[in-house]
Amino acid sequence: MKISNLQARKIIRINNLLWRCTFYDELITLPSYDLCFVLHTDAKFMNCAMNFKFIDEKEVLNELEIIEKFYSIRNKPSSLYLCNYDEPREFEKIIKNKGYKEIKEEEAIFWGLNINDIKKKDFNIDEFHIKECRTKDDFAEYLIVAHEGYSDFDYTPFASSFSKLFNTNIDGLTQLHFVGYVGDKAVACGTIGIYLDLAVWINAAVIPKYRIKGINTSMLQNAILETNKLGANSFYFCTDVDNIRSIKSGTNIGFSEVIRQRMFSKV
Amino acid sequence: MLKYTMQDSEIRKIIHSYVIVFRSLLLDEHIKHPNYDLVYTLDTDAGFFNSVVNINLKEEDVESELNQIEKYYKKRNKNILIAIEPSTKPSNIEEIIQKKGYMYSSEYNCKFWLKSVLNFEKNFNKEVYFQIAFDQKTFHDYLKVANEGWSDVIEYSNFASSFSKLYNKNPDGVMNYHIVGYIDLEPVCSATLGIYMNYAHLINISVKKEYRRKGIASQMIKKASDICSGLMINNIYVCIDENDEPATSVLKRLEFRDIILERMYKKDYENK
Repeated sequence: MKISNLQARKIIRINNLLWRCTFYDELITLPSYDLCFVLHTDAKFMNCAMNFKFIDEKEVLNELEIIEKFYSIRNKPSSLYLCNYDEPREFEKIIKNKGYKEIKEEEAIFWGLNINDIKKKDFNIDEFHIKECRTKDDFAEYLIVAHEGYSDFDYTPFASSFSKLFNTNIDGLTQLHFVGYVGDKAVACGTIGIYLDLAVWINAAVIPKYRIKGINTSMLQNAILETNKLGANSFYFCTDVDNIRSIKSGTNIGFSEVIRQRMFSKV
Repeated sequence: MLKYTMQDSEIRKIIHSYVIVFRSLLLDEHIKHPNYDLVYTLDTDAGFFNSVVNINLKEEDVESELNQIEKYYKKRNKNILIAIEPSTKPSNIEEIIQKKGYMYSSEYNCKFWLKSVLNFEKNFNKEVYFQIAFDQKTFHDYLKVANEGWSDVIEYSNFASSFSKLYNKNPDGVMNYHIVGYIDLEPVCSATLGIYMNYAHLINISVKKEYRRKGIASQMIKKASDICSGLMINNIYVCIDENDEPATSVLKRLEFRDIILERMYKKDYENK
């Protein structure tokens, strides 16, 4: 799937806006980049600046000072997520000269799919069904599953919260939160956000015992079909470069790589 | 149009921060796209509040983005206004949108003015006492003055600021100071100083009719500059209608410089 520079910037911004509704404590969108910040975690990729579009090196250097100040007063290292669509093209060289180093383990990939290219699958998972969160109890199940499903990552204990799920509304963004059940047991969760005709799937989690059964793919496919009814026709999600299970759950139904992001940090 | 040159990126930051500050006071929706801002307010017909600003597109993207923009406003039953700033790209956008049925509409043109806070005189007229709204009563006074102050100027006054917006709509990173000016305990003027990063905008300036032409607006602008000084903010921006002569003369008297002109293009759906 080919995307334009503008589409890449939209995808990254929507992904940021969505995380603001579930995880981030702050998100500042400036005309030329986004500043994301979350307080209660050391996960570097959640405290970073990204989506750059600067004219020249001089502008980069001026803004870098602001970015570094933003993170230093919040007691966080200043990290930058660079993607293959950022401008200026020599951005990486500029920040390396300023002492930034690549953090290989934080590399991420965005995967994309147009609705016409979906390879729909039938899933036969015993007693599995998906419910959209409408009530407090549904949201509680969502949070419990997210907690269990992410327990092998460092940001889990402080991830989503009731207050963020309920209170952080971003203009123009419609969110659907889903929980997957096997019988009565909540085993999976995920959120999809729609922004005009574009939808991004985030915070997908399956509790360990129920993995490798196609549950995540089924959740993703369901979210795509539901948001397509609301006008979305292209879909995206982001994974760590080495998260094979998560990657497969998308590629199985037709997703392909669209954006690659590399993390740079200054200690 | 411009008295001195300013980088496109700087112009975009000024406009973007202005829109974000207005979001916390009057706009019902503000959608920040990577390459433009969509602003919208429900309960007013003031055209310039339903507009797309800060456009920075490649020529080949204009048509598809215009379709999305038109869909957005059509759904909300509003005519669209497109603001063309000196930083707007592509540079031939006026030609493109005219072909798409947009008409130049100079009555909605807006002008941004700038002054360094270091250049304000520190003499205050003791007759006016200024208070920052932290309690419900002062907010109430703010709304009352805004309502009265705007009622004879433009049509959006009755539906402008509201308690819920003043209290609840704080976009990330915005600091607001809602200022009310009193003479003998009577609220006579109000305005909001909104700060986003290092950009300070004084918006929604209003003075009750019977208190105009007494230098009260100037006093309020000085008060706002005083707040900026305390926060180490260097410049203060004010945006007004291009043809608002009283406001223009106040800003000129205070030695503000005009820096950005937004030229407005309009398309009425009923004329399609």
